[in-house]
Amino acid sequence: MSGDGTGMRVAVEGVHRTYGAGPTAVRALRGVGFTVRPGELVAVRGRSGSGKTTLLNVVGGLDRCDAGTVRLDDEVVTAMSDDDLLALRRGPVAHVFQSFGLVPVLTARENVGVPLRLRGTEPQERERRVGAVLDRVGLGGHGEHRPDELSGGQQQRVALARALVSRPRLLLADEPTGQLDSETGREVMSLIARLAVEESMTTVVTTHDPALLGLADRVLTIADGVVTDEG
Amino acid sequence: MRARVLLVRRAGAHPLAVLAVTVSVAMALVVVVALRLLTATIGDAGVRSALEVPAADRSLVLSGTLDPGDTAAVDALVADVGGGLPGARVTRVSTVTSRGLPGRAGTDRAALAETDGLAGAVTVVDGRLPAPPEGKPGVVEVVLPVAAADGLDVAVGDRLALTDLVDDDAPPLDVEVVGTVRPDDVDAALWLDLPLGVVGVTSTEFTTYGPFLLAPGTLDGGLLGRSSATWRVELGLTGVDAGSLDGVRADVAEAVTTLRRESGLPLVANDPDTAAPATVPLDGARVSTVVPAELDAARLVADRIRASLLTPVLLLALLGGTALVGSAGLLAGLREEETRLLRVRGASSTRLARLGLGEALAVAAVGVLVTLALAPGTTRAVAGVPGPWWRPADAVDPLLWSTVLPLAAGAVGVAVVTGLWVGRDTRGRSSARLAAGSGLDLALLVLAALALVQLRRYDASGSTTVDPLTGAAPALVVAGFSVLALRLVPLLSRLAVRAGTRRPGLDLAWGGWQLARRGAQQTGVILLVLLAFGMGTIALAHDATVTRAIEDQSAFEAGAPLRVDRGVPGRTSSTTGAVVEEAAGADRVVPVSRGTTSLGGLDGVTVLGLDASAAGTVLDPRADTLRGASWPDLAGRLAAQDRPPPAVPLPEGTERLTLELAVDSPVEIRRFGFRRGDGFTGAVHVEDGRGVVAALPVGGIGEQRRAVTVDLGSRRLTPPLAVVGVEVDLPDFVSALAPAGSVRLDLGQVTADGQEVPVDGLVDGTDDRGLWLALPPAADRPVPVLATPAVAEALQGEDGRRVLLPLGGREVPVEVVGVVDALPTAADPAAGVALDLATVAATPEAGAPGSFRSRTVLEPGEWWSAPADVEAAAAQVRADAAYGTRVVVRDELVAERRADPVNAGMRSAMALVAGASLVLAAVGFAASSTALARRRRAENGVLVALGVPPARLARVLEAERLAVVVGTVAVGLLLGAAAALAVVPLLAGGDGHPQVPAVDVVLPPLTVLGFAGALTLVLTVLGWVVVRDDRRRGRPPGGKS
Repeated sequence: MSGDGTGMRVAVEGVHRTYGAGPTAVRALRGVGFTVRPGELVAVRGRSGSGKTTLLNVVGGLDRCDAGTVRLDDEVVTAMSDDDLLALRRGPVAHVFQSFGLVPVLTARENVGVPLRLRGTEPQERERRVGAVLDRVGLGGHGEHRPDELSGGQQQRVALARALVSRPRLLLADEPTGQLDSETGREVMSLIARLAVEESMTTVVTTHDPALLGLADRVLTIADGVVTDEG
Repeated sequence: MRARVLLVRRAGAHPLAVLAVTVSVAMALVVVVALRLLTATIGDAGVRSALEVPAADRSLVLSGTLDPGDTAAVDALVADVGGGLPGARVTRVSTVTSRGLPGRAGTDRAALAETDGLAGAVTVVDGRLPAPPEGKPGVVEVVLPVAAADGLDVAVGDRLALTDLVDDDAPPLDVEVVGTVRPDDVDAALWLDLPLGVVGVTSTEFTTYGPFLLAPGTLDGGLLGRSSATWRVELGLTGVDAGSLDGVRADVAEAVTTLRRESGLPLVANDPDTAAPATVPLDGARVSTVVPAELDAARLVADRIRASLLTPVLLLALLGGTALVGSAGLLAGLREEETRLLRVRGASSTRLARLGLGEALAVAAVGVLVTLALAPGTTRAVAGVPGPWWRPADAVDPLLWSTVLPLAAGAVGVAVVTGLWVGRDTRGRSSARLAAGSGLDLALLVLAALALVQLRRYDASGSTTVDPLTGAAPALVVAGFSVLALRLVPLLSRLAVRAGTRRPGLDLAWGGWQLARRGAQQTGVILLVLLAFGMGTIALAHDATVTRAIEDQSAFEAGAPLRVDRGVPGRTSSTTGAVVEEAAGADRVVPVSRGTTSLGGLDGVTVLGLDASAAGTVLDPRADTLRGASWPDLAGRLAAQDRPPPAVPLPEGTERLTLELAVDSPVEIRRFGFRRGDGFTGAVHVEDGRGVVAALPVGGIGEQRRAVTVDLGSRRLTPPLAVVGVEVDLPDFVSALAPAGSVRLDLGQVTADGQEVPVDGLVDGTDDRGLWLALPPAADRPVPVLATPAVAEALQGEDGRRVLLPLGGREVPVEVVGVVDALPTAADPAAGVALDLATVAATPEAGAPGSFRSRTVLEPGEWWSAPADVEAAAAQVRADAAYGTRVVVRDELVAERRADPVNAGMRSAMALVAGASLVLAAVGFAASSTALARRRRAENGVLVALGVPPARLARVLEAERLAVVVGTVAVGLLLGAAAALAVVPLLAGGDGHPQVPAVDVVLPPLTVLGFAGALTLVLTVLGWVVVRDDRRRGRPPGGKS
């Protein structure tokens, strides 16, 4: 799989994921199934504890399901080895987290450069691409700032830039506006939508903010670990 | 929730972190308290060691003259004074004027004495002890030392009439020898006042035999008139320790005052107004003692030990504090969320502080209990004191409590403040970094430098007190260096970041970023490792240095691997040299003459006469005292290149040498004050194969030529032998009675075992000191000498004028051919001169017209040797040598000093310090690594989400910890070396022995590197275990939705 080019096709079939065992076991996903077309922006909505984050983690290879299949294009993610999953996350799949997931001791530029370092990109090329992607998220002048010197919206833009810098084909954003006020959340969501189109990448965003759902091509609804509506 | 329940639950939530805090506190308390207890134990041992002085130095002496019958009053006074002093034993020795011995040389004398301790001080070899005179009217019973009886050729039952040398008309004193005795202990105090009792015979201008020991009470009977008496109060100081030292000092001062007051002496020297009338009938009373000075010296030793051990105590307290900060910081970090929650639920800062205080008090209580259980036993084990591990008395030891309680309070304070400090905004800077940044390190170093200078001044002045700041100097040095080293952290971090930024990969950059931007998380552990390594290096260097110093000082004290001399005053047995040569091998023995002389303003200059031909291989002075030269080369420079051939060689194997001798005088010898048949003391000078000249007595030489025989066979001199001179001593007054040069020595036939030997090589060399036949005059060449710098300077003279060295009543021209810093066995190491015995003997007196060679100047009284098997040779010498011979074995001195409680205790203490440092560093490092790993969990989760394998992250963290440890240990090597060089000389001199030659700091490279390796390994493995454990416990980010 290449990290460049068009978005990935996502096919999820009968995915189950249970945490723990016995009477206290939590069944986070119970036979989830859906498909996302290449380049499509899909929003996944649901209440807290409905299984949204688990679903994104299983799709992105951060977590393994107990049963079912996840395919990205023709690759079966659920059958991949740990190393293949790591390669997947270094390459075509990128994550954006609700809590931004920035390294506090690194500047915005350094945070964004981490994925390129993981891919062994030469320093000159790395710096060029980092500068370009920061410009695209509107933070060209904030590259030397550390996360605690940036607002929440700016931090999420840096996280988005870090996700985009390796030119992913699938962006998985878990509640990217969850820690932002509504105005900033809308801005970030708009940015994600715009960049998804510009980069032709498939995007799956979880949110429970109805105001943001309008930016998506399609909305999946998940409740108690089951997709109840595929929009 | 009740506070107690909350405390228990809080502790139970993080048991390992609480355990780390508890171990840090307990370990620091146990070791510091053990060191304090050890300080007291070693201090007491040091005091005892310092007070292990000869009887002469622990005695109060009262002397004077008194009439018969007056003894009892003074006896009572002295007994009363002695009763107030520890372990006091009183002896009295009374003597009367020496008497003549009819039928013997006119210069022979008989000494009479009486002592009240005779029965307990001697072994009766033959006969019995004397009874008071009333038993046999007219005859006084005496006993004689065996040596005196042999010298006089008298036996039990013989009677002698001792003449009065003052009153010619007085009747002789008839004495009967009823026994012969031998001293049980030649070092006993009694013989200090009666040294003749040990040797039996002394030869100066007169030959004195005796003492003729009278029965106690004889002199009080009035038979012999007034007597001189010496009362000696010998103190038993073995039970004195550092605590009782000052009390004993006061008691001794009081005793001296009493003796002076009661005997009518002024209480203040030279102030007659402070004198009161005497209450005892003692004329010319004199009171003397050096006990106060000895007690002061012991106090100095105790203070030095306390000051020396202050260094490891302070450093361990510092190290323990640092480890505690690390582990308490970990605990507080783990509780950040919990603390936030408590605040949200209304807990005030005071309430939180109270919780922290309660927990700290609980931890401190555990630490105190552990200390109570372990510290006393540890102290006894380390100090080698026998006894159970714990005894009830330990629980009420005031020193223990006075140490542990302030320390525990300090630990509570550190734990509480650390708990409150964590989480506050210090902008990523630790307190240690802040300390460095604020210049505290430089301040510490300046303070340390000042204190070190002051400490060296104390050393030089021999001051008996050391103030706390000065005593803390070594600790300040290590602490200052450690904090100073933290200044390197940002520099190294920047380098790491720069290197990482220029590369495409993440690992190096990630490690660099963490080091550079989370330096605060590293400084604690860096400080910990630096302190531990610094202390470990000091401990190792101390051990190696003390080992070396003990060997050096033992070698200096012994002079050679085996030294044989006479342990008591008097002439060495004539066969001792032969015994040593037989045991050690002739080529491994150096005859040595050791004496002192004065040179210009220098008094007490040790003159070491030795056989230079063998000294090069037998002696082995420390190389750095030789100023770049080799010892064989220096020894080789001492021997004259052109020794004259022997004038009167004796046939090989000569056993008996017979000479016909007479004094040729124009005035009858009788007029010189001698009866017919008496004569002047004579000696024949025989040179042995080494060129060493020995003067062999030949008895009295009178007007009538008579054959005198010397038994060369029994003396077992090193062949070949040659006669190089004959002398007869003349009393000073002879020159007033006989015209100058008119008295001559007449030498007739000389035979060796009956075979005549030509004596053409001897010429007349008579001068105003005696009659001489000697080798002909030779060129006036200086004797090559090795000298210490002060002596070499004194020998330079002004304006290039040659300075002469006074030797044996002569002045010998010398030339300094080498300078050495210290000469073995010299009383004052800085004032010594060494020369070749044979060269001195063959060198004429400087500038004296008609000066002749080969007069005996220095006679060997010691034999230094380096046998192949020292132990066997020493055993053989001990078995074969004459009574009173002393055998000094260098390795035995080494063993004694190593076993010295102070040395052994200090070494154990330093080993304890090194071990405790390692443990505390390990605990602190583990806590720090755990805290670091936990703080990284979240961002590591992000990196895993970005595609970094968790194992790789763990490896980066491990490599980062390894880099910190290796870098710190590398810096620690330099720091440790610098600290050891500054500190160890101050720690190595606490046993009260003079450190001669000067302590040479030994930094054992392999041991230090081994310690560095062990420390690195231990910490790396710990870091690895902690990181792996954290990885196992850690979870990926995201969690459940």
